[in-house]
Order: sequence, then C-alpha cells, then structure tokens
Amino acid sequence: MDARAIAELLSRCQAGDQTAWDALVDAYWQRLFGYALRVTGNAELAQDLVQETFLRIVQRLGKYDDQGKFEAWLFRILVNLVRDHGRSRLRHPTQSTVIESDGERIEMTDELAAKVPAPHEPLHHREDVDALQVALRKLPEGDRQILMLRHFADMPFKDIARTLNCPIGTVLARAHRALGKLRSMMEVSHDKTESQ
Amino acid sequence: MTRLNLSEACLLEASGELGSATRQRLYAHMEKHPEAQRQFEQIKRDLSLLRSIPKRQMTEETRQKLATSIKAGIRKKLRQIEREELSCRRWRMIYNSLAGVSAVAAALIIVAGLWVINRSASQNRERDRVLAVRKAIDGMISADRPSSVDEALQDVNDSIDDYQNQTSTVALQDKDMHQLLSVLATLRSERDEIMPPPEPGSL
Repeated sequence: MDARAIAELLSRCQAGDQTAWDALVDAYWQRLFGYALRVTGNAELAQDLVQETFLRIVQRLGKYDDQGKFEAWLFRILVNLVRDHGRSRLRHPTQSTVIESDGERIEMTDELAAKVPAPHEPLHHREDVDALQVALRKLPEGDRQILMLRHFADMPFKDIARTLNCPIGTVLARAHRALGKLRSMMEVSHDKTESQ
Repeated sequence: MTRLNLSEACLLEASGELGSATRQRLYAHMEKHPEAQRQFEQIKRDLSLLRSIPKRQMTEETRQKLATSIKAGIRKKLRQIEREELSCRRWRMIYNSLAGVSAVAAALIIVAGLWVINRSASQNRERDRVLAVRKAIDGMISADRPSSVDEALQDVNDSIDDYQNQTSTVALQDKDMHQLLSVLATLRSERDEIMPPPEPGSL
C-alpha cells in the first residue's frame, strides 16, 4: 500500500469510517502477526499484541499527524509492546501455533520459506532450520530485532530505522554484523555435524 | 540523502531497496573491483540464509478466521474501554456531587460555628457590661449609706433634741448653753445642706 493510499485510509479512519478501519487492519495485521508470532513463539499472545497495537492506534489516531511514517509508528508500537510484555517470558516462550477463538481452533504450520542456498548447500534438513533458529536466538537483542523485522515483518531497512528511531547507517551496520554472526554460527554447526 | 559505504550499499541492493542511480554506481564499482563483487555475493548469501528461516504458513481459511478474530477482538476491547470510561465518568460525577454536598455542609458548619462564637462573645460582653453596671450601682449604694461618723452625729443630734425637750427653760437661760445649742443647730443645718438625710425606706 503506497503512502497516499495509507494517508487517505487514515483520514477516513479519523472521520470514524468503520470500513476504513477494517481495511487498515487487513493491510497490516499479517505482517504484525508474523513478527509477533516469531518473537513470542505463541500465537495467542501474538494475536493479543496485534490487537493491542491496533487499539493504541485507534486511541491515538485523533492526534496523529501523518507524515508518511504510519508503518514505522505501527511497528514501533508493536516492538515496544513486545518488549514491555516481559523479557523473562520471552526468554522461555510457550511455543504454540494454535489459537482458540470463540470456540474455534486456528492452527498454523511451519513451511520452508524458499529453496535458497545456505552457506554451502541448500537447507534441506529440519536440523538446519532448527540450528538457524537457535543461531538467530543467540544474537544480541538489538541485532536480532533488526533481522526479524526485515524477514518476518517484511520491513525495508529504511522503515526499520524509523521504527527503532535510529539512523539507517546504524541499522545497516548492525544487520551486516548480525548476518555475519549468523553465518559463522551456521558454519560451526555444519562443521560439528560433519565431524559427527 | 545518506552517503553509503560498500557493505551498506550491497545490503540494500541484496534487499532490493537500492535506488537506481546508486545501483548503477555500485555495479560500476564492482566491475572494477572484484573484491567488492565478492563482498556483494557474500552479503546476498547471508541474506538468503536469513530468508530461508520458515515463516508460519496459513491457509486462506485460517487467514480469514484470524483476521475476523483480530477485528472482533479490537471491537470488543473498544466496547470494554467505552464502558469503563462511561463508568469512570459516572463515578466522577457521583464523586463531584458528594464533594459539592460536603463543601456546602462544611461551609454551613463553619458559618454556624462562627455564629456561635460570635454569639458567645457578645453574651460575654453583655454579662461584663451588666456586671460593670451592677458594680457601679453597688459602689453608688455603698457611697450613699451613712458612715459611722454620720451615725455618731445623728446620735449627738438626737441627744441634743432630747436635752432641749427635757430642759427647755433652764437651759435657755444659760447663756453659754444657749450659744452651744445655736452652734450645734448651725452645724446640723450645714450638714443637711451638704448631705441630705436618707429618705425612709431607701438603702
């Protein structure tokens, strides 16, 4: 959705148009949910956080002055909510891909995203995926946050910089460093597997 | 416009976010510098590694259900907030009313207290005034009462009168005695002029 369409949608929302609200939620919920689900590892909690994010948007939209930074604002709220939710809980997340909603059960499954090459060979094995996710969790929080926003929220680096309120150069430098660490950890993991 | 270094430009290009002008400069640079080309390939592989982390997949049905659930959840919470705000406003109104009534009651109590204090003070002043008047009257009364000297003089007067009645002829012939009686009569008339005798029945 381009900046003009978002601005129009927001002004309709500010006027109290319910269909505009639905359209706004439809436009963003999947990316927000994808990020929240990956960070928390709990689908129900992720849903709550997404709802809370939109709720805060509803409550503050009256005072919001759109300058083409709505997406960054939206994700900043979610990132802060996830952080505030408690790091201790996130360190030991309850893994769940099931949501119980009004007696209905919604289930999600993991899928290998794309057949892309790993450091040396394609990620064909489940172990490789697990090792990669473990490596991602081992990254420093700030670095991991950037990679997760880029991958799970499909957020461009420019918007990540706005969301985290830091210069684009800093975000790119941290992303570059984090990707390098991820590669190193995967190489170590591969070496261990081969030696066994 | 932010000036980018090589790794930043490579990362943005691998991510599909580099502008066309910068991209042209990057590729021109990589053609001349094989090391830059290798770095770009490495960054592309690193980013691909990240992209290989699976995302949660949802069927269209699941997607619809989840979207509906999220929207319903938002509306539910909004209604809850509205109810809470309404309740809060109601409580605030009750609180303000009670505060108003309390303020009026407090003001009445203060006014009544001031009135009682004022009344007590005026009663005290009145009592003091009455006491002062009574004291003044007592003082005047005690000043009007015949002293012991007056009583002695009255006794002398009475004795003289008795004497005059008893010894009328003999005493009048006595020259000296006559002179004494006339002096006493003068004395008595002078005293009566200065201090009239108390009326019968008065204090």
